[in-house]
Formats: sequence, C-alpha cells, structure tokens
Amino acid sequence: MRWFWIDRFEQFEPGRRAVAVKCCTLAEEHLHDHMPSWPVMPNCLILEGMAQTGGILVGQMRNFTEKVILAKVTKASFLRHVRPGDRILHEAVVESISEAGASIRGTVTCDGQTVAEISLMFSHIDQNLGGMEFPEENFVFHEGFKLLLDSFNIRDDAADGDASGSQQK
Amino acid sequence: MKFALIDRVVELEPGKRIVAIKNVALAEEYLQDHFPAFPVLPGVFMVQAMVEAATWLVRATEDFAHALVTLSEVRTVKYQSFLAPGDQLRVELTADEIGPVASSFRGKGSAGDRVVVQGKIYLRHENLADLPGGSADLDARMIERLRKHWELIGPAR
Repeated sequence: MRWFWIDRFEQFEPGRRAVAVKCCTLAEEHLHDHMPSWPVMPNCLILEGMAQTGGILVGQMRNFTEKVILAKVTKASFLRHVRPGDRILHEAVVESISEAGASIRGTVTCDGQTVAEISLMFSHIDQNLGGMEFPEENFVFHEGFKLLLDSFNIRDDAADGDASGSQQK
Repeated sequence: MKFALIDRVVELEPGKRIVAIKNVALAEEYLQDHFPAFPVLPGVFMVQAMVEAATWLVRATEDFAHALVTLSEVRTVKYQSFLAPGDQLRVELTADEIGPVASSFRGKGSAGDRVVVQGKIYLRHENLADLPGGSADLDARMIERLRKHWELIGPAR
C-alpha cells in the first residue's frame, strides 16, 4: 500500500478551500481484506484523504515552508459506506491559521450524498517542538512531493481557483 | 498489503476492555511515502489500530453476532508523539457501552512509557443481510473468516 489518499484536485482556492477527488477501486489491495467478501473503504482512510486535502491547502498558505502534520481529529462522523466504484469528493475549508498551526472543516460527499463530516487541526511542528525529534529538512513537503504538487497544478501562481482548468493553459 | 492493524491481542475482558499490539516495521510499504526522510506510522493508522481492537472486543463480547463492525465517529483524538520503525504501539480500549447496534470506547495508545494518542471512538454494528446487495449467506461467510482471523491474533487460550 502506498500513501496517497486523494487522486487529484478539482478546485483549489488558496487560503480558503479545496476540493479533491478519491476514486475507490477493487484494484486497491486492502479492499480484499476490508472486508472479506464485502469490500468497503476503511473510514480511517477517508479521514486521511481529508487530512491530505486540508494539509496541502494549509501548507500552500505558507508556500510549503512549514512542516504541516495532523495534530488532532476534533470530530469525524461517518454516515454511509464507500465501496468500489464510488468516487468521493473531499471538500476542505480553512477555519483558522496561526504561527502554531491551522484548523479545517471538511465534508466528504459521493453522488451528492454526505459520506462524512470531519474537523481537523494541524500543527506547524517547527513552532511546537514539545520534545519531539524529527529531521530539520521539510520531510512533509519534500522534493518528490513537490513534483507531485506540480502535477496537481496548485503551486504558487498556478493556484488560481480551478485546478483542472488551469492545467490546460 | 494485508489490511490488519493489530498483530496480537494481549489482554481481553469481554464487555469491558481490550489491550492489543501493533508493531511498526520498515518493511511496511506505506512508510516509504509517510515520509521518505522520516518514516512514521500515520496518525490515522493509530486510530485504525484502536478501531480494530474495539471491533474485536465487540465480536468477543457478542460472539460474532455482526459481520460488519465499522467506525461511525471519532471525537477528540489528540496526537502527542511519533511512532518510528522498531516501536511497538500498545492500544488500550475501555468500553463505555456495547449495545446491540452500536458501541463507544475510550482509547489510548502508548509506546513504552510515552502516550502517543488518545481519544474516543464510536462503532456501528451491522449485518449485510440488512444492506443493499448483502445476504445472510454473505454474513455467515464473513463471520467464518473473522473467527479464523481471531484464532490468529486472539489471546492465548
């Protein structure tokens, strides 16, 4: 299993909100264990998809210089199952940002139905050391990740609202 | 990968409490992405280890009455530290309530004397016969596989 729980951005409004897509497919190995004979996407991975959508939205606000990590799941409610063939949308909206971190509120939908409601807090960990040890380099938004962000087309001046539209310029 | 976030159950009191272990190993593929220069167990997998421990406590309590026991809500999960390859996560779940179709738990994860995560989780208990595309036959087959998995990870008898 790799660790990419969104496939691409559909909308990206810097500092405000982002919408990312995740397609759920039977080609994903873990669905054959979860669950045996009735594949269903683990809700913790829906949570991670929102953390990745919100984390990139928050990271972009400091031009990906901060190390943004998930600090708290304030609340997450899961209302229906996501199964192979489903295409879910993660919409994250920035609630607040400070030197120490940021919070987002998210909604996950599938075919217009609400799948989950998720509120998260992120830490800019360089500002909140708290005895934790980690590398000095930005291990979250590393070079390989920035290449992937380029393909998402949301870096710097590319981030002008409609991620899919700006890709065609 | 096999989607199994519990390696072993070390303590079990049906209806009340479960303690289980998840070892973190560099052999796990997803750690190369999270993160290449700093492999650590993703926070949502700490939650998943707590969820799986809680689901096994439900199954042990109600003798596998439901095929599908899934996460319905997470409240105030706080992360305090990282877990690196070589660390052992010990999750401890205490049931607030295990009802017929839902349950709630307080959970804590630690590695040695470090608390790394704590929070509350809520589960929903369902049978496939009650869901679109499901059937009692599917329930029976899934429960049989879950019982076999429990023989692998359940507490030594």
